[in-house]
Amino acid sequence: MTSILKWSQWLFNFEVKNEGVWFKSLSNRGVVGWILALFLSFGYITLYFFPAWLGLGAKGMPNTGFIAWFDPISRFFNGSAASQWFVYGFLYTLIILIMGVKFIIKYKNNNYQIIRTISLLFFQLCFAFIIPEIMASLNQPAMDLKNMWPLNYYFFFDWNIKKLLSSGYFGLFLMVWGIALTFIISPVLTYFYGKRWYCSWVCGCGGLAETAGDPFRHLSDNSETAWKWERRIIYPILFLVCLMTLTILDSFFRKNPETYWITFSHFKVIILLLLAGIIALGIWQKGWLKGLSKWSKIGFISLGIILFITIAFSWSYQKPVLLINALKLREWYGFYVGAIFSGIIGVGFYPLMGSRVWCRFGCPMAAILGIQQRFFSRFRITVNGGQCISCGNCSTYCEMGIDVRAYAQKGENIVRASCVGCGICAEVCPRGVLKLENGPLSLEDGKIRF
Amino acid sequence: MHIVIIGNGISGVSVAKSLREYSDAEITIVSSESISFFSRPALMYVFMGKMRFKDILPLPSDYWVKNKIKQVYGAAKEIDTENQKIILDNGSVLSYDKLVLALGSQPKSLGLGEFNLEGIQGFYSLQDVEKLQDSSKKIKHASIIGGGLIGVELAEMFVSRGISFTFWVREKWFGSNFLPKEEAEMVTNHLISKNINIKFEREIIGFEADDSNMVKSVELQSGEKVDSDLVCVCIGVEPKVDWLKSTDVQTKAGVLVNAHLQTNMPSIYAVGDCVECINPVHGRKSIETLWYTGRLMGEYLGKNILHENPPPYEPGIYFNSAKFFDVEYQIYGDVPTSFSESYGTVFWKHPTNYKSIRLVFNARNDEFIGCCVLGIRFRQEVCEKWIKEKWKISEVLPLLSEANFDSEFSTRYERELLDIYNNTVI
Repeated sequence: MTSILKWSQWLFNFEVKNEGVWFKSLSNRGVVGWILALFLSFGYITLYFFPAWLGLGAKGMPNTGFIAWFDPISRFFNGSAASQWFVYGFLYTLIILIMGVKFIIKYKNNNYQIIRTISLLFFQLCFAFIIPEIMASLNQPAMDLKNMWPLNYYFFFDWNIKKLLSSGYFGLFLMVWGIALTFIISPVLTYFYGKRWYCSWVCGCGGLAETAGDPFRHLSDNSETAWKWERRIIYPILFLVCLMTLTILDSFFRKNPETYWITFSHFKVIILLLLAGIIALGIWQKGWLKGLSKWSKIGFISLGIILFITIAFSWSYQKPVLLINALKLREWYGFYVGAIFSGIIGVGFYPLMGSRVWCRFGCPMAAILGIQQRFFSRFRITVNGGQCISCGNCSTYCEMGIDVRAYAQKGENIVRASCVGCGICAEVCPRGVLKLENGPLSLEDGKIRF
Repeated sequence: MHIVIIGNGISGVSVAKSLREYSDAEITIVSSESISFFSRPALMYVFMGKMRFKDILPLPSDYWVKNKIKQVYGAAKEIDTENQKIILDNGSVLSYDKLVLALGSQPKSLGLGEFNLEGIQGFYSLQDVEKLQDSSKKIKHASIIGGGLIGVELAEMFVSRGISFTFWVREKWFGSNFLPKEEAEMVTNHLISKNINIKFEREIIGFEADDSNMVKSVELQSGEKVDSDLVCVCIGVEPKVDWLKSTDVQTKAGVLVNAHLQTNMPSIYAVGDCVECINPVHGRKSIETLWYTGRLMGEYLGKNILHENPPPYEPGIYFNSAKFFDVEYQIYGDVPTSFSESYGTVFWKHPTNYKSIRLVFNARNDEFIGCCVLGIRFRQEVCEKWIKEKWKISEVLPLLSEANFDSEFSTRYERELLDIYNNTVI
């Protein structure tokens, strides 16, 4: 009986909040942590590249072994035998549900954490798992309604567009929904609530990080060097995903210049106007590039102008955009960013680099939302006067590796592109110094306002 | 201009940090506790495995070089006030133009000579934690003496490591000498709910040691002896000024300073726990051994030490905070432990949780003078503004939600407090 009690206490961590995390081999990059990291990474490698090892039947052959265990569940949902992606989605959702309940018990005294986690569980279970399965079983295109471009980098791929546009009104609805999500719904919500509405309330990657990743959140490096590398990696990936989408759409329209309501010439005008708009904003809105040195500002703006000119030139000479081989770039991005970075490193490295490796260093969605949050949002973390005792709990338990204490001990509010608004810094603060808030526009916000 | 600061706790480091903002003077900071500044209140979290020692260093490791602040490891032994020199225990000599004493404090003794025994210690310094780390591995039963903030921190630390201990409190309630009665009762009940072995109204009058001078048991007033091979004495701290008695710097309980934190020697100043103000600002104690006071004094001195006509030190509205296991505590302004006729108070307490709000006002003119909260967070700026601008309690109550700093979606209790006030007034 006592051993059951002890075991359940360990599993559910009743009352205990992060005590002894630096003593445990699992959570201090000890042997157990490394074993788990290797296990997870190899799990992803097998799933992505060697599904036959897990028992996936080749071309119409029945499944065997591990994947065959999930055939009955898959038949129940969509009528066919399990694919490796069904098994992955099913286990992913199951882990989020179990660890989500554990998380809620751990933070049961904090309503923000409870409501936020219920939201994550709901979106994972319904939007990511059940609704797409229902769509598929009704012979409609299946789509995760909350997974938007550019995280969902294949939304604008030719095969996806063709699939959606050949599926009648429902497909058209999905097309319009996907575009509205990226270009209307997301900026509006981010303006009012910061990127947390997505990253720590809705997103599936965030869902796993917040629940299964919670025991590893303190392993995120909060040094300034890590912050530097964060910016060096995440913005180029954002650039890359935009470039890839542009080249794919370009080759798509080249093959079907007049087939759709939007023609190739429409598309060219839209892209060039968009680019010109970004360059103009960069020049006019001084505040937007605040913090950059004069030369990097000039560098970014000239890069934009060069891009504009070369794109316009390649189109006027009937060549692919920037002469890039769209298929090669797509293959490359799918392999290195889609599979290796977001999967193998993103989840496999939880026990080594913390729970948000992908979200911090890789996710192009987080990059876009972050830029909006930094410059055009009402979200910030407010610091309560001079109450900070510089203890460092906030910085240690920030999964995004933000050195929260550096701001808190100066009494400065925190407005950072990477903050996903999980609220754990405020929860672990022993002196009530931090609070997540939506106030007036947070740009230039150095002081406390109400 | 060479400014030497003795002590690299929050007070000394605040002097250096703020001085660097205003001046390019040469700065040297001396300590024998740790080469780098760490957060003292966070030492408990290192013991509990919540953080590593490097996580409780508030400034990045390159801060000192970048800001040209020289760190010296060593203990100051003597001050040659005539030649403006300071002598360290390793023999080296530093000359100064201005000297800042940020010496900190030390655990008070019960007066039983107990610190001469092995296994009896206070809980204050980095060395104290290191000692505790060692001894906690082999001990059978520990004793914590003293019902204050450090005692409850130690209790939390021992619980997290599964160390068996008894928590001896002299008073009837925990915290009765710094909390109003209702709050003290709530905190006491919270401690009891944690299933810790806490004994009230027990006074320790002696210790028993074995042949190797190692403590064996504690002796109670009742004559009862309780086995204990580790004893932590946490009955408060006092300025650590013993070694100054032989110098020209004037001391009483602490280093005596004027309104500019200057000692009797014009080029020597003092900040933080070691200070005793000759004429404390109205409503403040002459000795305040608080993190926040140390920081405020340090920031003031760093800004004004090179000033020709500095304004006097003005700490502003009093505030403090603490945490008793899971229950946070904040206080702003004047909240006495017992309420005489001249005080009015509105108090609300959650029926089941450990949450309470107390507002205190002047019974004569209804002016809001202070508040304290348990399990609820208040905004410092708002409370300060109300106290400073002498708002009436009847003006504060309807706007109380502006002071709330709890996380989003938290249950709010301003309505209950207003109802209590309206019912008592009418």
